[in-house]
Amino acid sequence: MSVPDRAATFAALLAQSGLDPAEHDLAELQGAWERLTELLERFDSSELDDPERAAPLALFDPLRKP
Amino acid sequence: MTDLHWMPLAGLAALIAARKLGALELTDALIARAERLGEHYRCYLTPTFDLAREMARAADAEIARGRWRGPLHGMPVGLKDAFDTRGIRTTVASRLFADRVPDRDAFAVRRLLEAAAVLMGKLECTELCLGGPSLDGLVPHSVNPWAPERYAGGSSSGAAVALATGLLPAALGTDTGGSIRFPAALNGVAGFKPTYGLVSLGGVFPLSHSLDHAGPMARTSRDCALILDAIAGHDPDDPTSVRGAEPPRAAAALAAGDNRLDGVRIGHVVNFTEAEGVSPDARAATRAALAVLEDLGANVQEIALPDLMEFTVCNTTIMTSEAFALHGPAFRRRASDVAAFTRARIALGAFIRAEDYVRAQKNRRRLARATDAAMERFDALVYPGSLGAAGRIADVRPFYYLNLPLITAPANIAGVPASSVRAGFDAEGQPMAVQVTGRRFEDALVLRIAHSFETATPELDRRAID
Repeated sequence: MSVPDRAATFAALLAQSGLDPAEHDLAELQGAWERLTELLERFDSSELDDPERAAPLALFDPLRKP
Repeated sequence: MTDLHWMPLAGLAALIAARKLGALELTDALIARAERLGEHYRCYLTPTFDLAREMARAADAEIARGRWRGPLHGMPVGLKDAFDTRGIRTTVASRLFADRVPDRDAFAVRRLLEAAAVLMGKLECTELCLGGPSLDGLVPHSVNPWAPERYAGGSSSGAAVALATGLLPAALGTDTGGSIRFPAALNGVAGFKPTYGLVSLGGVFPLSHSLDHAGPMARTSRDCALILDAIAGHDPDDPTSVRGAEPPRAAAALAAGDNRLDGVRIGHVVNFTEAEGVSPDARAATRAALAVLEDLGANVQEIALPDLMEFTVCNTTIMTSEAFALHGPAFRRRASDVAAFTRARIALGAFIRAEDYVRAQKNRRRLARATDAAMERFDALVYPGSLGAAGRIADVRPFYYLNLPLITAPANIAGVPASSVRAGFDAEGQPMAVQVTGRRFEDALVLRIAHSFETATPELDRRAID
């Protein structure tokens, strides 16, 4: 995705979420969002997402061993 | 009596129990110190000194009648301003809650009051438990007594600074990604994050329900154990509170024997110690601490857990999503009332997709399972308490944790007990710390190991100020 496209996508998401762009440092926020996206992709595990092999989602339960 | 303000809670409790020290005498001494130093270090957000004197008088009167409730009887304590207190404003250091006065106490606060502790006041924290350091919020950040130009850590910064400056012997903090242990490490005090579910979150400001923990802070791990014993317990009103868990009896585990650790198996998480971002001084302090633990009889071996950054990303994704879900509505209405760093960190939650959140929760189970598997061979794990010395405030960026790992996050992800223990100083005199973590509900063992290390290294006890 080109830089202007990424900025446009980001601005659209911001508007969707009900935040006022004037109240935020858009460049910083976009940088963080892109960095988090990059990290999520780096640690993505197909094992977690494969509908045939993935374990069902069970939220953390302190009484049960994971 | 001299230097009451530096005595550990355990020593003060013994004096009070023996009627050699009155709760009011102690409370007055700490109030006088707070009035002299508090403005400079800014750790009190809402002092409750009149109430404290009233509570101390009542505590003394009860002891005079022959009833001593335990080690916290008459003990001055401070609360991070994230714990609800009936009739006392609870702001989480945010303009969003500047006028909020709860009508009931948090469960952990009720437990402290049942133990006849003396409430000295509400302590500064970074805004909404995820902001800071900042000067543009409801209150400015607390001042690091070791170096005022450096960050005091967060989010339980006021508690850590109050302990490091001798303003309090005991405090409660909260910890979602390290908010007890991180400021404890940077200020050279003790902080303990209990097993998830052991200490109720009832009446505690929620940042991220599935990662939040409440726990004790003090100057020694033994004192943390005494506080933990008082606040742990099942709360039927809190769905995260564990029913049927054995009381930790952590203080008894410490008092039962000497500080030997013969037969205790400790895993050194070497890939955490060697992770990118961990300073040479933090690595050296960790290796020195492990050598002490070996001298105490522990069997130390190296192990590896998954990539530290993976724990960090998982923690950040869950915390940021849950924080935005909880606080998004108020935030949308009043974002301009929130300090710039807090505003940025909350706003990031608007962009995390549901599938990322679900994947992070699944990943959390995988990381917790890996931690459990590692713990099958060990009684405890040890690794650095922080990446290094406190950073300079001017250099802290809002999203520093997207570029460097949160070395405290793995214990939140796995829900395991974790102590931050002071472990010496770097070449510039800044505190270093190590973490000791254990199996879920083996909180007492973690605190015993931390206590053993502290008692074996009295030369590391240093004060930032007189």
